[in-house]
Parts: sequence; C-alpha cells; structure tokens
Amino acid sequence: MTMNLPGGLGSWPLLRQLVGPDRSGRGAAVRSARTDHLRARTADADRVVKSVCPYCAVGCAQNVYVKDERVVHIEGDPDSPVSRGRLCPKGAATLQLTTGESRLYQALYRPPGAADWQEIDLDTAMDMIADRVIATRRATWEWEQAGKRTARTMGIASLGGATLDNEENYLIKKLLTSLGVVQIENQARVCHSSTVVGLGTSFGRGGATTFLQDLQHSDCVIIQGSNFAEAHPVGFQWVMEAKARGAVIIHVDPRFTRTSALADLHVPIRAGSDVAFLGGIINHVLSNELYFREFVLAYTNAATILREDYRDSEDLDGLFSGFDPDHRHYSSETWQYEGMLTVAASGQRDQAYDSDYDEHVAGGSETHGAIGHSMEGTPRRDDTLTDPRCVLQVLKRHFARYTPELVERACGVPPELFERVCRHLTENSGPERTAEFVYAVGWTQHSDGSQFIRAACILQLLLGNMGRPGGGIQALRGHASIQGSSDIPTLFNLLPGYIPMPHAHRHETLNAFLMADAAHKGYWADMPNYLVSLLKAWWGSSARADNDFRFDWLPRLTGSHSTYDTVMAQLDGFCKGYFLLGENPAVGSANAKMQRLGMANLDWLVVRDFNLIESATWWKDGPEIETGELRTEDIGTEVFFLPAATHTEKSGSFTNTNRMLQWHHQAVEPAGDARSELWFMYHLGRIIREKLAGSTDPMDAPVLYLTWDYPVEGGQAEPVAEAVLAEINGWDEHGDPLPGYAALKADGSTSCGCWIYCGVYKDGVNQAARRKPAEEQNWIAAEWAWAWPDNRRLMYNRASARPDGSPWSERKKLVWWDAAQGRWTGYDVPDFDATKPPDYRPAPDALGTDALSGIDPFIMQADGKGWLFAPAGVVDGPLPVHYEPQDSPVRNPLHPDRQRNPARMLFPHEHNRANPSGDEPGAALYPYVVTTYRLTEHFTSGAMSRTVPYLAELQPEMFCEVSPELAAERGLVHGDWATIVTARNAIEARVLVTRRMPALHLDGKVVHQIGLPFHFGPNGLVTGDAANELSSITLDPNSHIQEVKAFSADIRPGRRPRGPGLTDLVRDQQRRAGVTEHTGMEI
Amino acid sequence: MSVDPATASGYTAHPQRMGFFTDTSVCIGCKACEVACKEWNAVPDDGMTFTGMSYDNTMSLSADTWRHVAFIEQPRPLGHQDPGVEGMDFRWLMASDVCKHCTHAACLDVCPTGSLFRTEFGTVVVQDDICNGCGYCVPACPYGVIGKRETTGVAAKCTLCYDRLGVGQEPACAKSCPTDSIQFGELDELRERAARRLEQMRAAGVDSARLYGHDPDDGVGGTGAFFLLLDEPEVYGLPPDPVVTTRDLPSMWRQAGIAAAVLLAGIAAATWGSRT
Amino acid sequence: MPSKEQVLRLLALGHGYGEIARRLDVPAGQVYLVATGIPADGGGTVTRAQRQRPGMLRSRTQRLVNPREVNPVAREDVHAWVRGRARSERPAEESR
Repeated sequence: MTMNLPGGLGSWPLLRQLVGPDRSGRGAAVRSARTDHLRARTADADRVVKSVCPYCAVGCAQNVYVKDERVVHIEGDPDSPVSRGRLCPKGAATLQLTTGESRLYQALYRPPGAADWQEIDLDTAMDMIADRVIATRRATWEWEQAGKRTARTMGIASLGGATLDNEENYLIKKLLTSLGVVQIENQARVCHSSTVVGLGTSFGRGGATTFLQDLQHSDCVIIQGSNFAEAHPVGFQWVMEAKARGAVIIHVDPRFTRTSALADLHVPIRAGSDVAFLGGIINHVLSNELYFREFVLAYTNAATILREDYRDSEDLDGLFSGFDPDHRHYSSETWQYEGMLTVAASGQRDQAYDSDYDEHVAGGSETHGAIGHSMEGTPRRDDTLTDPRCVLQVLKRHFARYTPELVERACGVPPELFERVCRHLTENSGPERTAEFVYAVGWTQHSDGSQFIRAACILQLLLGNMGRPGGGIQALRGHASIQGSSDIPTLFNLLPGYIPMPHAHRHETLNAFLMADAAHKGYWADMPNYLVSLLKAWWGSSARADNDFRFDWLPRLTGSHSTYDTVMAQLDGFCKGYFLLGENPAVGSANAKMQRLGMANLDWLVVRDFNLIESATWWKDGPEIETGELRTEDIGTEVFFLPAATHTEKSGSFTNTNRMLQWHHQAVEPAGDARSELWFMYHLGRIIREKLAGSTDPMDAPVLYLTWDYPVEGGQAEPVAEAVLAEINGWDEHGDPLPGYAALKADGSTSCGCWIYCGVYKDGVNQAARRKPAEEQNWIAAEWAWAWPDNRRLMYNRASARPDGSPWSERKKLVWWDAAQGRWTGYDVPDFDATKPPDYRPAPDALGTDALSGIDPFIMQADGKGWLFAPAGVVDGPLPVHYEPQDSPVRNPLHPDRQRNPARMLFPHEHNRANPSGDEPGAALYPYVVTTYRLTEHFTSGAMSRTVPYLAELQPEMFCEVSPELAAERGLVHGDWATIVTARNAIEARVLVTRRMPALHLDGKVVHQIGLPFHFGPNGLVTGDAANELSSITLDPNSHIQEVKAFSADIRPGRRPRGPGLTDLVRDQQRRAGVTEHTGMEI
Repeated sequence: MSVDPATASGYTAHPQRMGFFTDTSVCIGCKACEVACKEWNAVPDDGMTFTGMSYDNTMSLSADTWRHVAFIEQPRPLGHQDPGVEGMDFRWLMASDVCKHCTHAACLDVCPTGSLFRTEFGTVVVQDDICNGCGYCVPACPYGVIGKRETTGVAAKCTLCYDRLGVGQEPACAKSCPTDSIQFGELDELRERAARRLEQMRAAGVDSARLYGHDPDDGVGGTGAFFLLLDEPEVYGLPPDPVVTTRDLPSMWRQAGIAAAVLLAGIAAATWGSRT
Repeated sequence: MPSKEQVLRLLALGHGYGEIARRLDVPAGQVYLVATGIPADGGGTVTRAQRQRPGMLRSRTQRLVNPREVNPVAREDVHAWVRGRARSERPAEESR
C-alpha cells in the first residue's frame, strides 16, 4: 500500500486516501505498518510439537507451538480422527493451564506442627522422602498375616493419577510394589472401576467396546448416566453426526442438560433408579420376544443351563442363593453353569480374598478349579431356549416384575414415555439397524454401580448390538489417561493387563495362582505367558523358573485395600505415609472430611501437583481448621509439596476412553523445581536403592533386584519415556520388540510390562506416536496412534457377522469371513483368530484358544459367549436387581423389605453416618434426592480449572439446581444462598432455580432432586464448598467405588454457619433424624 | 444490491469476503469459543461474577469478551424435541454471539483516526497502535459489540482473527467449536449453506428458526458474521432491526447544509434587504 | 492483496502453493485459503463437493501454516538399550 515516495511519505494514510483508490480512508489507505507486518504466532514459531490434551478422556490431539524455548500457543491438531482439530473450553485453555500464573515452581516443606510452608531444595526433599519411605516401611513391615505370607507394608499408600502418563503409572506401580506397598490407587477407583467389572464380566474386557467416531453409524443413541455434551464436548460431535444422518438421540438424566438440549427425547429419571429403568426395557424385550434371536442363540450364554440349586432374587426377596449374612457376601457356587466351575474374565477372579472367607466356602480355596472340578467340556445348552433352567428363562423370570408400572414407581418415568424409549431402541436394533448406549459415572458411582452397567450389557446382548458398527457400549471415562491408569495400573487389586494381584493363601505358588485363576479356555488360558513376562520385565535375570520367576516377591492382598480402606487405615493410625500424585481427595473423593482427618493422622504426606491443591493445605486453612475440629499446631503431619511438570514438559502416552494410546512429546523442559512423575519415581527409586544397597534383609531384595536402569537425558536427568514404553511392550530374548501378545511365552524368554499393550512398540516404532491424518484413512483410522488389544478398534467385531461368517447386513457390515483367502477381513482388525473359520468347532478336550469355536466372539470369556447371566466375577449377584442407594427418601418399590444392596461395602464411622431412608423414622429430615455432576467449564476437583482464569470466570461459584416447586417448598430464592445438609456435613451454594430440574412423581408422591456440581473447594481463583463434604463412603463391593451419584439431603435457605456452628448444625440434624451407628447398616 | 466492502475500501484486488455462519441449532453451550478467542488474542479475563442467568456468567460482548454464549431457558417446544415432562414445553437455546463485521459498519464510519479499518477479507479490525481511545465507536455500534479496554484505554473487538487468516488459518473460535456451530468460510458459500440448513430446520418442524444478518438489504447491508437463530433476535439480546447508526449521516449533513444555507440566505436577505 | 482468480490462475498454470506464495509475497497457507475458501488448518469436515474444487489438497494442509513439526516415532538409543536389557535378563548362568 505504500507508494514510491521519498522519506516514507508514501505510507502517510492521508496521502494514500487522497491519491489512492480508498477515498473513504477506511480500508487500504489507513493500514499501519504494524498491520501490514502482522504474523500469526503459529506460523512464526520455531517448531510445533505433537501432543494430546491433558483434561478428559476423549484425547483431543494438540499442536504445541514453541518459540525461543517457550510454549506460545496450543490449539487442536486437525489431523486427528477423533477431534478433527477441535477443543472444548478446557482444552482451549491449555496454554493458560501450562504457562499461567497459578503454577508453582518451588518445592515446599511443612514441618510437623508448623503454621506455614518453608522453601526446600528439591534434592534435599527427595532425600528426606526416601528416608521416610525406608523408615516407615521398616517400622510397619509385615511378613505374614494369620499364617499366610504377605511380605508387605500397610504403612504407606499412594493415590494418583489418571492424568499421568502410562509410563509414569507403570513406574509408580513397579517401584511401590517392589517396596511391598499394596495400597496403590488412583482416580480410576472412584470413577470407572465399576466399568471394569460390568463390561469385563459381560464381554471379557473392562473397557468401552467401541470408539467415538463410530457413533456416526448408530441409528439410536441412548445417553444415560452421562452428560455427554458437557463432559466430553468434542466427542459429542459424533453424536451430532449420527443425528444429522437421522439417528434418534435420547438422553435419560435427572436434569435437562446441555446434552438434552440437543437430544430428540429427554427422559427425566430419579437418580439411582437406572437398574429399574433398564430392567424394564429388558422385560419389555423378553416379554414381547423382541430380542435378536439368532444373535442371542449363537453369541450369548442364553441357552446355557444353570444349576438346579440356583435361587434368584425373585425367589428370596432380594437375595440370591449363597448369601452369608455374617460376612455380607455371596458364594457364587450356586450361580455356576450346571456341572462346571467357571472363572470370570474380569471382576473378582481370585475369589478367596478375605482371610476367613476361604474357611467358609465349601472346600476352601481349592474350590476354584484347581482340584476336583472339571473345567473341560462344554456347558449344557438348550437351543430351543425353553428349558426353565436355561439362562434366557431365568432372565425372563428375574425381570418379570420390571413392568412399566414399576418403572414409573421407581424412576418417575411415565409409562407412555418409557414405552417410547423401548420402541426407539427395539426398532433400531436388528440385522439392519444398531443402537448404542453411552454412559459414564452416572452409572458407575453407585453402591451397585457394576450392576447398572451389567443391565445395559444384558440389553445390548439381547438386542444383538454388540460388536457391530453403531452399536456396542461407549463407556465415557473422564481423565486423560484413566483408561491407562486402569490398564497399567495404579490400582491395588490388579497387576498390569488386568492380571489380579495375588491374595494371601497358604502355600501360594505361581502354579497354584495360575491354576486357580486362569480360565482353561479362551485367551485368559494364556495368563501364564502374561504373568511370567511381567515378572521378567520387573526382575530380569533374577526371575527364573526355579524361583517361580520371583512370584513371591509380589506383596499379597488380604482383603480390600482400596483408597477408602486406606482412609480408614489412616484414621486408625496404621497408614503413616501417603503420596498424592496428581489427585485431590480433599475435594474429589467421597466424604471429604474423612479424607482430611485421615491425612491429619499421617506421619508424612507428599503432594505433587501444579499448585497448592486442597489436599496439600488442609492443615493450614481447610474446613476443619475453620470449625475447630483440627488445630494447625496439633497436626503432626510433615507435608512435602513438589511442583509437577505439565504434559507439555514431558513425553509419554495417554490412553483415551477408547483404549487408544496417543503419545505426547515434550515441547519444553519444566522450569524451577517442576519435574515429571517419571523423574520423581525413577529418582526416588534410585535413591532408595542406593540407600539400601548391600542390604541382606530379604525384605529389601525385591527392590534391590528390580530392573531399574532406564536411560536419562538432559540437564535434569529426565528418564527416557520411550524406554519405559519399550519395556511395557516387551521384547524377546534377542531384544527385538514384540509384535503382539500372542508372542508372549511362559518360559522366561520374553519380558513384557503389560500384555494388553504388547504391540505398541512393534518393530521398534512408537505406534502410539503415529499421526496419519484422518483424511487419508477410513473412519476407523487404524494408523492414527494405537489401541489395545492389537489395534482393534471395535471390540468383539466377530459378532458383526452371522454365524456363517457373512455380514448381518450390507448396511452394517464391519468384519466378515473371506472363504477364498481363508481369513477374516473387513474394515477393522478382526477381534478374533484371523484364520479360524466360522464353522470351526473344538474337540471336547481342546484347551486354551483352541477351545474357542468359530462362533465365540467374546474371546476373553471362558465359554466365548457374552454373558447375559454372570456365573462368576460379580460378587453381588449374577443379575442386576433394583436396590435403593444407601441414602434414599424412597422405599424400595420392588423389594420393600430389602431396601439396599445387601452386599454393599460399609464403613461404619462417626463421620460416615447414613441418612435414614425409605420409610425409616427420620427419613423426612433428608427428604430430597441429591445428584452430583460435572460442568463443561470445570474439571474434576477444580485444580486444573478453578486456577485458570479463562475457565474460572465461566462458572465462578458453587451452585445448586432446584426446581421452582422445591424452591417454593423450601423458601429458596434464585441467586441467593442455600445450605444443604446430610448426616456427614453441610455446605452452602448459590441457588439456581430452573425448570430443567423437574419434580418427579413416583409411588404416589412428589420427589424433588437437588443438583450439585462437584468441582468446588476452598483453594483457587474461584472457590466454594465441595459437594463431597456431603457424600458418604458406601461402596460397590465389586469395584469399591463410592456412591456419589445418588444420595439424600435436606436443603434450607441461607448461608451455612461458620466455625463450630457448622458441626453443631450437622449434629443437630442427625439428632432430630435419630441417626445412630446402626442407621443404614442392615443387610 | 450487495456491496463488496473490500472493493469499496480501496482494495483493487482482494480475496473473497470471509465471515462466520453461526448455526445456533447445534450449539452445546460449551464456551470453547470464548476461551479459544481469549487465548489466541490475549484478551484478559472479564471478572468472576456469578449472574444466575442460566449458565451465562459472561453476560455480553465487550472489549474483554469477543465471543459470548447466551443461554435462554424457555417454556416453548423446539420442533419435535420432547423434554419428557408431561404438560411442559421446554427448550434451552444456546448461541454464540460475536462482532457482526457489518457491510455498513458504523464503528468504522465514526472512527476519526483510521484505527478501525476494513481488511481485504471484508472484515473490520481495530489497529490498536493507532487508536487514541476516543471511544466514538462504542455508542456507534447498533449491537453494543465494541468497547474500550480499561487497562489500555484502547478500543477492542473481534478481529475475525485477522492474523490467522493471514497465514490461512481459520479463526480460533471456529476451529475450536466442538459441534461446528461456528462455521468459517467465504460468505457467499456460507449464505448458501445457511439457506439449506434453514430449510432443513423448517422441515424438522422448527418453525421459529430464522436467519439473522444474512440479508444484504437489511439496515447494515448484511453482516459478515450472521446467524441461524431459533427465536426472535430480542430473545438472544440482539436488536431486531439493526441499522448502521451512520446511515442517516449523509442526509443529516444535507439537511444541516440546507438549514445552514437557508439560514445564510435569511441573514443575507435581512442584511441586504434592510439596505435597499 | 491476492484475489481468488489470481491464485486459481497460477494454480492452473501448474504452480505449487509454495511457489505462488513466494511470487505473491504472502504465506502459503493464505494462498490456500484464498484459492479454496477452506482454511489450511480445518479438520475433516470438507464435503465431497468441496473436494472437487481446484486447488484442494487432500490432507496435511496444516503444513502450509506450521513451522517444523516434531513427532519422532523411533529412537535408536532406545533400541540399543532394549537389546542391552534383553542380554542382561538371560538367566544368571547363561549370561556369564
């Protein structure tokens, strides 16, 4: 725009206006030089590094732009087949998260009784922490318990983390296990542990059965127990694709949410009543013979005959046969297939986990197939599906009372609306059409959460939607790598790849463990290969056949050691030391007060995070300091705060909600004292080993002989994450990376840190780092990153073909048998033996994978079938039953005398009292149903969102959502304050009166619900009371997950008391309600 | 008669006019647009205020908010959507508002310094190295979009990510939007797409669906950022019939000129008349 | 400023985006946007009709915008380390 005049005159706007084409002087003529030289900082950067969003589990790919060794911008990577370059508000705020002012870079230390933090040198802190680990471990070491070897310490525990890399979780589990620590947990426990049980026992693997992009092929999507659009916005684009193609979108939820706003049909439901709802649909399908018969007959255990002494919950008023009232759990013996003992693919596999449990089970621990029971042969079947003891008939009887009328009484869903859902679902299932269920923690976080999921599994099997495009069950997990932290895992009861942690038994050897636990058929029959390879990876040359590959160096479990058991152990003074690695239980775990009181009893606490989260500062300014229940000077806990590196500052892999591992590369080094967890665990281990070097004490052998020699690089000596990935993948005796789990051996010649991840480093290529753009692939996009198992994207896809191997329909074809080639082919990698023909039938004595026929799509199951009825693996029943939540204002309409799940896990404690429920006296003091949930704008406990200004300003206050009727009933004023009270605690929240929270009519009365976001806490830019102050620790016995999605409370207008007045208020309400230690404790 | 604003602003050669089509019927109210915009443009946060206005704590466009998502809870049905509560009509409208980049832009008209200018893409942008903070643009905008930033004293508003367009990238909000509610592209093509989408919505029974800002004959000559709304503009806080506030300026000057001429003539007549 | 016609003309003459960018002294990504109306960093929502436009590239258009991309997928030092580990893992008797 400048004209050729001397001295810059030509750029003078006025002159340009007068002389040039822009006479109005509003366009070309007035451009400044700065405007002309404007350059986007994306194009101007030095490099762009491929990465993945650290927030939820959709796993949106990110481009991280670096200039002058600083991250200057982060946005979506358009090549991603999952996200297509998009990011939700949290992903879009990643730059501020990683480079903003809320991050800390200085290590801090709080001495016992001190009023404040002091700065500490990082190396000194590491040394002090190592000393404490060694000392506490020694002081609390336990060689055996009740005569059984345990070889462990119950004095140390670790929590976190689902937003950590797989490689980090791997080192945490590896090091701590070798130190004898069993209390290793993470957010997966409190989030989707029920998924592992529910999906795992039904289908064989405990993860989402499909992938997000496949939603576009669905004809009907039912989103229930999930607020998809709010919690997984970028994933939700695939629902919109389905909708654009004419799919029916149904949202079943207590509230009308941002998901409902885009759905075709919203179904308001009482929080906690989903089993009744799904059971109603199951009954509808069975009674009207609407199930996909050919699919059900061939691919499920519908025809299998059960034992004669099986008694259903319909026979025994809410109990199944085999219940032991003294120990409050079931023996599954009477639930077995006739004439067989079956081991589940998932769930509680090594059943004798209680030290006195095995005394009571007939035959002791030997019951589990090692001696006396044959597991060969096939179960007896009735292919006419008429035998009264066949699974299908048992199902029919079990669900017969789940009528539309019951659904209305239990759920508040009118029959007409319910019938509409049934119609949409059944009309969109079958050979030509498929329907998909999408769920999240609205289903998992209940005292019978595993059963919620089981109900959906039963339904999808009956309708023939499993293993098919646009079908299946999408479990939406919530953290960047929570699938990974379950797979690897940092969970107490599992070893990598869902191998169970061994329990203490008499004479427990590797062989006995494998015999007890490995199914003799199916892919779990290869468990010896998986376990031995893991032991080789951990103990290298020290692990040999003649020492059981050091199997006895694994510490043993003697019961439940979940995070909630750890809290109790802290309160009781047994657990002295605690690591919090990117998790914030003072806000994010149930019964927040007990979390803090537990920590107040510790000797030492190590918190690693980006900023001072509530779990790091409770001793200074937490709620108990305010009420006076705790005094800072009396709290002896030593606290270390070590700043953590963000995902842009380290390399590693995240596993998203669809089992897909995506690598993120380090863009810049972390500043100050900030380090990755990989650095922390590796160097902690190094320092501990140095301090223990030369020890001849047998308790130190496992950590001294641990393979712990990862290469490090850079000025900070950061371990090379890819080397850890290589170990997770495994190698053969020549050091060639293994191509897949079929190559694993039990003779010690292979090493593999996690058998389900075997193949991620195939050919020495980091398959998780592959980034072939979506536009160059079909919708499955198999060359973008890598998914387990074996990069199969849609699991159980053998079921997308008929028994004869041809597709069910042209429209829904995915994988089919190519007779000419003698192999399975199609759009996805077959989740099946590639060359096993559809008409293959095993010989009667066949074992292992040879025992699976050509029509066994569920290859991890011992019988190769989808389990409508779960003979094993689900400890509170082979079939779901409607039970009320622990706290509920409604009396169980199905089993009025069996209010709650009889097998639920209870933690009696003065700070964990239950609300009186149903018709119990005092229930009217807690008359409203409460449900908790996420908001799009925030993330879990708020540590990654309430500290980020761009997110904090979007939802700056804690609020409760109530209907206009409830507001009127209680005198609540919109925009003003309310106090919500349970038997645990009371909180305050701003009031949002909204029609989106409908009043429900059920069983002759009106039931109101209160909605509470769970993100708030006292720290950060925006603060508020935590919803988890109100929740109790009452757990699903399978998954040990807490019930935070449905409980009860009272609400009244006004702010809550400050100081001791708060505890007075809670106690007063308890007293008026008649709450005692016995409330809610009945079977 | 549609005007090409870039041509009218003296660009002899220039790209096709670019803009936004915001299809609010697929908006999930996530506010990714608000955040992505702020992050790219280093727009400061706007205060932590709980409004109680549904999920809208942002409230309006301003110098420190260039994308604003409105939430409207209404007791009305939305096409065939069923909220599942007997006897209750209900819908929740969500929409992301933005600077309209008007064809006839009043802010541009009144800017005395040439800070506001029309780009080659037809968009309107503040050059903050020139702006003197006079604030004339603020009341000029019929939509209340532009504002003056307190910290710097300079006017600020959406630039349609002019710097990103310069390297071929789409605006940050459009890129981030999870459901493609915010669509970026050549304005002509967007208008065609929008017309088809409107037909689809009407066919699906959403009679209240309409386009806003698409019409070159409206009071601002049509906008570079236009919308598919599901109700009257006022419901969204938008003016129903926006007019570029400087539209009448020429005629006002003419009138003033005539008045002045008449006045002068009258004085002259009075002065010379008295002499004769 | 480049116009669509101008850019399409140059494309029709067989020039690539890099070359056109140099000639017109604008970034290559802008040339792509001007030519096709599609941003270089848009992701996968291109319709079949749009794909037929002159100048459309099927994939990886973000490279017209971005600086050097960093995404290594294999490290020789890790391979060597793995081989070393495998050697050391052979049972103690063998590795002597």
